[in-house]
Amino acid sequence: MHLCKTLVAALSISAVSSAIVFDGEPDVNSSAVQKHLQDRSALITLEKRQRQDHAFRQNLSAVARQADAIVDAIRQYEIDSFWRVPGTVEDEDKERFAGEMFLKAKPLIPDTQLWKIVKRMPKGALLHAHLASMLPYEILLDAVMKTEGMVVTVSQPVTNEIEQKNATLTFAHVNHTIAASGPAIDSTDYVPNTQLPVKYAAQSFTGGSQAFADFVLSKLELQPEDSIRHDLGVDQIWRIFQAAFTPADSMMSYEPILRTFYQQLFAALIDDGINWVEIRASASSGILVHQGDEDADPNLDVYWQVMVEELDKFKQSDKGKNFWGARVIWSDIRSEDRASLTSSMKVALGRKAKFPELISGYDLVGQEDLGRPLSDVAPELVWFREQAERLNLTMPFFFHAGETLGDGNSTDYNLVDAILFNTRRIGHGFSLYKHPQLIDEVITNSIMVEVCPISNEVLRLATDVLHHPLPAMVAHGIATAISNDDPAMLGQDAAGLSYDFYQTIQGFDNIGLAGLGALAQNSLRWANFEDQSDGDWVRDIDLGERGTGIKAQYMQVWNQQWEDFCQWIVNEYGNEWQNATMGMTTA
Amino acid sequence: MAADDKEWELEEGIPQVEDPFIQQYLKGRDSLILQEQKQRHDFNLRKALTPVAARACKIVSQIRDRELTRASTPSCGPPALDWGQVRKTDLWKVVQRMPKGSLLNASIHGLINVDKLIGIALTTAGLHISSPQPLSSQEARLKTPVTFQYASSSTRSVKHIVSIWSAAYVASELIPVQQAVSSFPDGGETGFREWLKGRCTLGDEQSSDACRGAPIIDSLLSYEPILRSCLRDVFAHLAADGVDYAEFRHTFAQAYRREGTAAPDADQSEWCHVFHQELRRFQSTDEGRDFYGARIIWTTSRSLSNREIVENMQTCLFAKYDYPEVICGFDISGTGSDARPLSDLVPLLFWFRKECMDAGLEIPFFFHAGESARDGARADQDLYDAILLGTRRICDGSTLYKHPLLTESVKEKKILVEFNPTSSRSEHVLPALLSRGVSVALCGSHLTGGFDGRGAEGFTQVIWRVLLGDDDHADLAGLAMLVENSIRWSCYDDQPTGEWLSEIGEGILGEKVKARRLQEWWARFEQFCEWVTVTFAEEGSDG
Repeated sequence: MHLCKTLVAALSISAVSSAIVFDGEPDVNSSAVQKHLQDRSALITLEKRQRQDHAFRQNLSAVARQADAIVDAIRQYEIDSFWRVPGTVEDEDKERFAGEMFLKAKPLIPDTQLWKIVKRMPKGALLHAHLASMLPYEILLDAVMKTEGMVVTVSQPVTNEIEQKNATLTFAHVNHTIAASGPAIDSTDYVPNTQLPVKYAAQSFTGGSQAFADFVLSKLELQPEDSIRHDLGVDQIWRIFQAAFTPADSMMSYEPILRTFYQQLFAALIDDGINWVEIRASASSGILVHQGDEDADPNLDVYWQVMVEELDKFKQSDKGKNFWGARVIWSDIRSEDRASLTSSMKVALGRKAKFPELISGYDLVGQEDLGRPLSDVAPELVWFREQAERLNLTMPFFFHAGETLGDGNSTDYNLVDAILFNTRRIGHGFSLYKHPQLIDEVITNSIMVEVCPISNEVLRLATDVLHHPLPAMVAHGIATAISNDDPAMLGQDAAGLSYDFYQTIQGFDNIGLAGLGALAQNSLRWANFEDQSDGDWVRDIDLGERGTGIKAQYMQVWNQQWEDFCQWIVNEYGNEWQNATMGMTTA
Repeated sequence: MAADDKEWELEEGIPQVEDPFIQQYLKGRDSLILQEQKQRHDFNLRKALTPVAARACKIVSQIRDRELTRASTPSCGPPALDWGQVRKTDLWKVVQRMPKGSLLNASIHGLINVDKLIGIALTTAGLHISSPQPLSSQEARLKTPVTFQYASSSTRSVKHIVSIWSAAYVASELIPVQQAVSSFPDGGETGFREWLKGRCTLGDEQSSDACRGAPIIDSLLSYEPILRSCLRDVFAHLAADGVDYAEFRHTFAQAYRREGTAAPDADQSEWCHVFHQELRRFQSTDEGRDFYGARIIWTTSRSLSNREIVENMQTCLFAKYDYPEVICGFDISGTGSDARPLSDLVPLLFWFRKECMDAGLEIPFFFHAGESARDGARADQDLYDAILLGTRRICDGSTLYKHPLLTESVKEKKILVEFNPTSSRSEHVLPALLSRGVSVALCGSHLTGGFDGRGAEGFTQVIWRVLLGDDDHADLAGLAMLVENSIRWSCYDDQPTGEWLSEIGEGILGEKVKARRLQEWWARFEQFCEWVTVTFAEEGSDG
């Protein structure tokens, strides 16, 4: 009817159009349309078979499938009803959407159901994190304030914001008395690098202790206004980021504080559902100041001795009885020249001989774009490998590679070297998705990528989680696990993985609870629980929970945690979201 | 290296680069890289470069590296860019002069000069302005929809008309533009121009809202004299930018009115007629002599209802029947929360395809799909449908790299990706497609130049950005491949699918119009390379 009207109207204007005669109307049930829809779902199914999480999804229990469907419904509900808020012409910052920049979303995340679920999830292992930046600095600062003899020095008076930004801040312990008097650090009379007792420095600071704490934390944590300035590029944010390690390291060099740090850290990880951690750290010279001392002990072992003691202590505590442990991936600075790198490598091998259970592997850290490319370090790495073999030490590589926006630059090609040096995992691998051949190599050689979504966003590789290449990696069959990198500095401001897990499930429809589960399970499959030959390492990865070693045991434990967790979701949310699971067989 | 360092290294037993096993390592490294590069989109082209082109390529890369390390060159992000500075650079001169082939996702909006458009609106006799609400407050003027349309002179005398700026304005009443200009409350004519420009360019910075000014411009473009004048500029801008053929995606959202006619046309055939006439007129001028032509990809908004879409499709069929040389394809576009996925529109698209077949009309699909992360699942899922529905190209396929199977499928089916590096912050997606051998052409869109009249260099900006970006592979040779693709995937003539595919396959070796244009372009490119080697001869001697 309507069709004819249009036709008649058209006829009066352009007579030539009369040759077109319409026939029938669009019909969802026509065979051609149905055929298309079948082809479509076949194509989607076919593609999903290549996903790295395909096997995990295939093996989900009935309860896990229900939980997956429930979480899917909750996530979708929150995307539509909680996140999608349009801004207005007058107030564009009111705009809100699922997957928006992490630091904008962060204050809102705890109000969601999805957050409660993610928090509770058993997360397996944390595989990529740097020691000095794993625990919120409020906790460390609190310990510093309470510790007798702690002093602070500032490289210049900090009377305004610019000076605060320019100043270098360090903490230290002294074993003599320093007068709690004299100009405050924010007075123009403050003489650069004068030591002041921290308590006095805080009290004399304009605005008191709280203002002092805010200032100190601003030197340790990237500020939201910095991290969203993507137009200033990667190098600029890295300068601010790396400067934060100076005050952080100085806080942690005093033994009592370091001991507190470990206890708090391990407890926080357990609270977040993490059972195992591999920490990137190094100490190629004596850095530990013993209780009551003020100079560092030149002994290269004491630093690690403290870590082993605290780890044992924690594992024996009530809270730590389910904590499987921690190992250290020795991480030298990639910008060091040949002589100092070689000498650090010697220290690393020496520590490995002394602490074989603690030290697990080797890596190079620091801004990849500006440091030496792995191909340049190849002579040292070959030498290192030979020395380890000669000394009968197992020191596999866990290289950072491809943490860059470049394509074909030297950082990007670090991926090539990392693969050729038999790296067991790749840190970040942000540019890997551009390399079809290297992807094949990574998959064939069972190399896993440690993905740090929030770090990549805050350090300006991706504007938000939606622009992260993780989905491309999973879709191509690359094994990945989620890590947090430097959560104390980069804005998570919480130990553990909950925020990075949340961003991952929130960002991508193709992940869901099942995909997140697969990522958590991967973290254990690729955890380096014990020294193994390359052959045993790959065998245990292939066998997974079906193996006979410690890895299989831990994966079995996690599988049970996962089932319990899924059951909890069904119990907790099953009624409210029963539409989501309609038609599914119950367990 | 100092001699004692060397001695120290030898003493320590540190391997030297010349040692056999380090050499072995480096050889293995090279072969792995080479193996990967064989899959690249431009692997064969690089081997076949003429000596002059190879030299020019090297020179341009040197210029790029030199300008990249200079602190003044911005590294990323539009906010920091000072185009005035950029225009002074050598790289800009090179890119500007480069023959750019076809622009496959052109936009009339993106290529017009808004100041000029407003000037025309103010002097076009009989043009009226209206709004569904009085524009009596600042806020109303900022937000309330505004439409222009031609109408016969008002029966009432001018002084009896209630101003559109006053609260007493009767909704939707047509007010002569001149009257609205002279009574504009914030600074008369100058103020009016500023206000209108603001409205037309509103949301320019935020790509998601970039279309907020579009309805106003659409209403102006639907009146014949204004349309004609704008099209002349648009064609001239393209030619000046080094483009010799363009396909415009255009949404026919407003009824068309012929000059001096208040009653709107029932269809858009006359719009196409005018497009065709203006194109021919331009081609007969000196500057348009080498311009091969331009066609329209009829674009329907995905936010419309089924009924509205079917009506729009019918209008498209009429236009194609009447002016087959103007309409070359069909697309569905639009973003936002009310945007429907292609899978939802499948019945309509099948119906459309059947109607085309019955009427003997060739209107292939050139779908938008997978265009941005922000649209999430919808745009991403559209990739499956676009491929299954036989799209000839995909615009802009930003999320394709996440889909290994679809990536293979796109290569196998010879589907080109029209990639727009500036529309989303996804510049780094491009290398992922190129390294897998996906055929890509660079595109701008109405978002790139914004609505602010940068049209004449919009495409130059896009290419400059890619060349200067993080991608070390995106050199002159890589760009040449992208331009060649734009020609190979141009829809110069209506062709059934088989013919379309075989002509793409034959490329420069074919016998039809496409092969001829490829030959012409390569000849121009060779001349351009010669110009590069002569102009920047000193650059070459450094390396």
